[in-house]
Amino acid sequence: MFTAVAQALKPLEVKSTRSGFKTSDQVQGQGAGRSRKRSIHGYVSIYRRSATQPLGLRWGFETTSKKYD
Amino acid sequence: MGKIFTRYGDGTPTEMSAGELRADLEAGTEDAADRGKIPPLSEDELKHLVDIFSSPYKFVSVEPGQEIVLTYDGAHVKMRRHGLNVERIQGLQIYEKVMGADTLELCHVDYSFKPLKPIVTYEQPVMEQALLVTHAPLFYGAMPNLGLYSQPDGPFPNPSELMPAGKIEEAQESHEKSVEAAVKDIVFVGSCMLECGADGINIDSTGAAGDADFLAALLATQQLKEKYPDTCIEIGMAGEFILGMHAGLEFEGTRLAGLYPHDQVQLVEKAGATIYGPVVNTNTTQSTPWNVARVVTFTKAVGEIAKIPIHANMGMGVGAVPTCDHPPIDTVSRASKAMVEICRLDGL
Amino acid sequence: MALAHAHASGMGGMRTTGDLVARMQMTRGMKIQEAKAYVANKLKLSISELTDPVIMTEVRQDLKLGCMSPQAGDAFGIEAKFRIAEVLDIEINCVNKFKNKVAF
Repeated sequence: MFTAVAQALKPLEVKSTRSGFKTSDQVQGQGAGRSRKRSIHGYVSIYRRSATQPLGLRWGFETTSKKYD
Repeated sequence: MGKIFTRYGDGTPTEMSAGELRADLEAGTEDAADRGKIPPLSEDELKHLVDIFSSPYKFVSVEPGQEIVLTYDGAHVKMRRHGLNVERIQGLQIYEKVMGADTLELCHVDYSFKPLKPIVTYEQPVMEQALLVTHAPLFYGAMPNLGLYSQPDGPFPNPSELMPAGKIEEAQESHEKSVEAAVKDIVFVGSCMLECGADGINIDSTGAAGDADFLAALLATQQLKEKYPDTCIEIGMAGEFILGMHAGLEFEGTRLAGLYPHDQVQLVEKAGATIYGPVVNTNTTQSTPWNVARVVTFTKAVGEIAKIPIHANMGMGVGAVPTCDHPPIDTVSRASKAMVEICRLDGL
Repeated sequence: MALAHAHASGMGGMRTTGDLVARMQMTRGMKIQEAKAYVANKLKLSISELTDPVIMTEVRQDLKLGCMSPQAGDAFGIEAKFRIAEVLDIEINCVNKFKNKVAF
């Protein structure tokens, strides 16, 4: 199953962590091993955006026949 | 004159003479005046309270034309507590038709914003459907409840453990981080419910965990009003006095620790809230006349300066209502009449 | 306890005009006397009539604002709220959402 999902997604460079678990570039530095302190005083999206996702987006995730773009 | 029937703050029945009644009323108003640095009740107001408590009737009410609006927090939860297994929408319809509610509130049994985050998508359809079959304005309510953000229930170190260990700065930092997290949660859940049609959000029992709790409600109100300027935000308090658990938190330059209702209302107005619900705690070892005089003194001071509607909290253990499961109508009706007729209340 | 308050000092909700006065407090931040005066003006009644359940039953049925014992054909729920928004000249969140959902 992992192989099928990996083939469907856009190929990414992966880097291994000390545990051998492969993480993608997108989540680099944000796993358990991060040491950089992340400020929580920055931009908080919920203060600006709608909290309720549009119906079209929600139905898109739930309909398995559609491809993930 | 015979003995006057009344109760203690825990509901225990008692009798007192006219002299004892008058003495308790004076002591109650002086206690409030001393604590809050506000004027005590006038001679006319004390006489009016004597008349209310001397009435031989079980039930008293306001005169026609003086009625006010009632808001109910946690409406459905009260029904479930009595073992009435009605679902929430039915409970709201019962409140609206049978119990004369002027406003309604949809809420979850776990009445805090943090636990609502993962289940809010289940709350939204209930709100949408309730709005279709009810007539009165419908709030969605929950508490900031900052205690949930400390370990073991939450992510941040527990200030109650850090303080006795002398780690004051660490405890204060934990409070500050809890505030930020709570504001995000309140804004998220509030946004979800307002976006599906709620008439307003009730941030209930504000200040229960101290000044950090109060600050979270004020900041969340600011954010929600900025996002949804036309909505109604009600801030209902938990206690009469803001406990200084952090002790250094400020809002718009005013330190929050130590504020009484007449100070709290000014900050609530600055935050942009639409309705303010002051609380004065019931002292269970004192008589109901003592408690009523005290509550009326505090609330009158709020009514004199408030620019927004004031809906005084008069539930179990607050607003001179006895702290017992089923507050007796003799006491509740007297407290209700006293509050409405002396304070400039807009609602209860 | 809720009923005790409702009888002692409440306006009575849908029996009279409690819900309408509450809406004026919530939408315009009106104090109680101002809210009562506004509703009385819109309904063309006196303030004392606002809390009379006999008069208000008739008024609410005539203006389709929702009533305690709805018959077939009476406005109910969201239907009544459409009418309340119109009569009081206020915006009601769920009414606007309803309009958006049913619009073609």
